Amino acid sequence: MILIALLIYTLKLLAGFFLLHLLWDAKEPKALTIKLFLGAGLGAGLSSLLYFLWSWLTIPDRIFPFFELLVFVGLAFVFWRKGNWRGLRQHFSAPSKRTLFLGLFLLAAALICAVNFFILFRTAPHGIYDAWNIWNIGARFVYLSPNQWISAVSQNAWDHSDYPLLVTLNVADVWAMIGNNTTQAPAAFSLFFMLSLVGLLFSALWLSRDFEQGVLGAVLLLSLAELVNIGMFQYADIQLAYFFLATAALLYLYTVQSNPRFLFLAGLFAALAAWTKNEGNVFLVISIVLCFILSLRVKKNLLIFFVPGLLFPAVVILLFKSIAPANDLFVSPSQGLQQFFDLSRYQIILAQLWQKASAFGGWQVSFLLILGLYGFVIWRMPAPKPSGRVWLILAFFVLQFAAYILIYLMTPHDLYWHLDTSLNRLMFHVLPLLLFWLFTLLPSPQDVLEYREPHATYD
Amino acid sequence: MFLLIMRRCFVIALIAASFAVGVYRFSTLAKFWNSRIAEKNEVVVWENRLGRVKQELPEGITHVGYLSEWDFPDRQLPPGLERNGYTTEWDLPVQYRDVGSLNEFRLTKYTLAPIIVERGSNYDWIIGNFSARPFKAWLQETIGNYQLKEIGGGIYLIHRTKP
Repeated sequence: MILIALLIYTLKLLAGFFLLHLLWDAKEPKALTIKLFLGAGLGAGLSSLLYFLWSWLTIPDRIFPFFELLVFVGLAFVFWRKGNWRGLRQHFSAPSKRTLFLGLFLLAAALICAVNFFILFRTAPHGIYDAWNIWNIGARFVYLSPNQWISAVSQNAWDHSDYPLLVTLNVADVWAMIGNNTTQAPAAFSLFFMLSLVGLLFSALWLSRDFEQGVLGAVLLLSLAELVNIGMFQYADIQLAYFFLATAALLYLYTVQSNPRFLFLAGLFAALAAWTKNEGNVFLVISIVLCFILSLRVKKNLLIFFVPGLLFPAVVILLFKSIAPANDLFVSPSQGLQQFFDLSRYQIILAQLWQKASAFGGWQVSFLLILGLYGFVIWRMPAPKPSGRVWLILAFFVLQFAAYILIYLMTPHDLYWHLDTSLNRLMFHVLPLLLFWLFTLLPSPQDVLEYREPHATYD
Repeated sequence: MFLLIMRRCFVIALIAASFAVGVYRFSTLAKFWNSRIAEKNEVVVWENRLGRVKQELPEGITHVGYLSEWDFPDRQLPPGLERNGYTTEWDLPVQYRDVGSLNEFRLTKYTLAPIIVERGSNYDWIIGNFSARPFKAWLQETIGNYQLKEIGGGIYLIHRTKP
């Protein structure tokens, strides 16, 4: 059953890939690879947006899977006819032995990660707490009461029914196609996005640096305990981290290639982050601000391409928010403002941050410390400078994390409880951004291993 | 030259270490593998326990109530907590509540979805979760006449009947 679910999610990935290729028809292997992994988020995102609209318009839910199939076939046809496949072969050459070895090495690391995930999944087939309290219970309402579930959202039928629906609707969609609300569907969705996140980091680094840097970044991400653990939780944090990285990668890609389609896609993916979790709303605002700042730096109005990308998801999100109950974080703005000036809260947050950061990754030695050490040792190596504006990626990381600190300062919940139950996951949201920034900046393994010192003789 | 060798070693070591961490994690997890481990999961256990409730409820029921020991009027709040306007444990901030009892309510909602489960007795059908204390007299006082079906594990299906 898990394989069938994965297959369905892969079809959504392919639909996303077809759409992306029609927008951006680059045929180099690295471009095709990033389009494949961006396709995962695009396919899943657009599918869930359409599913919501479908139900909103009270069209029978049971017909939606057939509509999706029709759209997929249509996209595949247009992709095949208009894909502009002439000259594809010239972009491909036989890989070197080292490239082949590293590619297989990465696949092996991904396989081990998937196996670890599967073992953990067996201990908690329904996920943990928020999975059955928020995300999967919502999917049950959608699947088991088609066309009635929208009123259940307004009635606050499950905890936090104000949370956006990307995960919930994708799970329910696969249940509708399989005809069974198996626990393997949400697990498959988690695994699908875990591997897509890793693949996205790999392909983004391949584009910004080289293949070997991509492998290094991806293998590091695969090694993190949080990737598998949070995946096993069946929450929406993996998906959110994915959309954060996708947006930053696309905006960075614009600064390299100046193709306005990347801005449009960045806007779309930023809005899909807001459709995944409420933290995505903050990220969307940050994205707009950074796009505006970039506009000032390049002296061009980039928002005219960025904003249209986010429009469709934004409309759906507004429709959803119009029926959803209010969020519980902002019930008392005056209390929040008072807490902002309470210095003891800063102390508590920093102490918890230090503690969690030291143990982050599940390595025997602090993962972040090793990363810092690696950066310190490697960064002075002569290597080509990145061609895009790397500060943009760092800005995403810093601003999003600062927003999280602000939320902790102002939270109406008990601070210790809030930090304990969420800090690790929030750190994971922004970690792929940190890895993308660091490894775009640093020389790659290829730069290090193939470097020849001047005036040295090598026999 | 030494610096270059050190950097090369660091690169190779980092890639190898990342892979090794994944393999080590697999070896640790594999030791605890048990093909029947899912049966002990709290959600699976709760779903098995409440599965009969769904079968017993008549068709067309969209809402059911939920009562537990947290609703007993003489229920003491956890020691050390001031009342501060809290009437029952349902009203307490989440970090003060007994997570086990709260999760049982949440799991009931999850298991019975898409039937909406809400706290309270103002429903024709009510799920009762009373593990130890006698509750029948209090229940009669609260909702009047009722029929009771014991599901097991302290779970009851209560049907309000006309007087």
